[in-house]
Amino acid sequence: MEPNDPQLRNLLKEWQTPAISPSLEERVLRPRRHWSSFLLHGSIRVPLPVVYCLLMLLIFAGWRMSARTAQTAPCAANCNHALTDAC
Amino acid sequence: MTDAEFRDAFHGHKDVVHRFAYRMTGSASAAEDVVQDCFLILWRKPAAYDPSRGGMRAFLLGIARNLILKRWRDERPHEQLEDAFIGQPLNVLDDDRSQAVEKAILMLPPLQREAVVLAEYEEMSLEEIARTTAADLAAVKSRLHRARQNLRRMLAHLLEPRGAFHGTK
Repeated sequence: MEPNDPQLRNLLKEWQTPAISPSLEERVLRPRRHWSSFLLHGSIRVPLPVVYCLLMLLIFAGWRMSARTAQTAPCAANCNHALTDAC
Repeated sequence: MTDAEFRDAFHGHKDVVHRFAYRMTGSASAAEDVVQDCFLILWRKPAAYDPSRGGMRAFLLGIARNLILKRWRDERPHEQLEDAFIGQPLNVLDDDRSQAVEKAILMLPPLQREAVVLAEYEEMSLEEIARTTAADLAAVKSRLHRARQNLRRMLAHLLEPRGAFHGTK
């Protein structure tokens, strides 16, 4: 296809591209929302490893809280006994 | 950029961006994704378009080109954009001329492919291609020359040998 190679040029022209699907126009030109509406209606994609980490953190925090409650409960009971004895 | 200007830009240039993306990727869905991303970038950063550096068509094709090459690099991290590719004659049926052309163009290394697509199908000048692809003129000429040589080799069975005249076989 040198400038004087119309033969190859004509051959290349035989490859036509398909038409754009009508849905593309809708996808591109749909009403674009203001950024503030994202706070109410937006969604984000979160990678699964991040979800796993958050889940582990949540379980760990739950475990810590329950352990702390278990530790403070006998103390509270003892305190009650102590108060009763004092009375 | 107003909504009306954006719509005008989309209606005026969506086809050229789509044709380019389709011929670069060989995939209708990938081409539509590129068109969508391309116009999304225009909508988000309209200030990036500087009319003094070329028209909207060249600007959008430049964005599309960057998106396509990024996708290509992500899919083939160990391949070069421009390698010493030497096309071999394709083994396709004579009645599949369009398919043969598609196959041959998609076999070209990306930088040769974009040069030939922009020059042949979009009829851009060498200077326009250089601006769109952010390359110097000599590089564009060289890529185009190698692309044409490769296409001639790959599609030799569909072409008459050079120098042959009609009716003298």
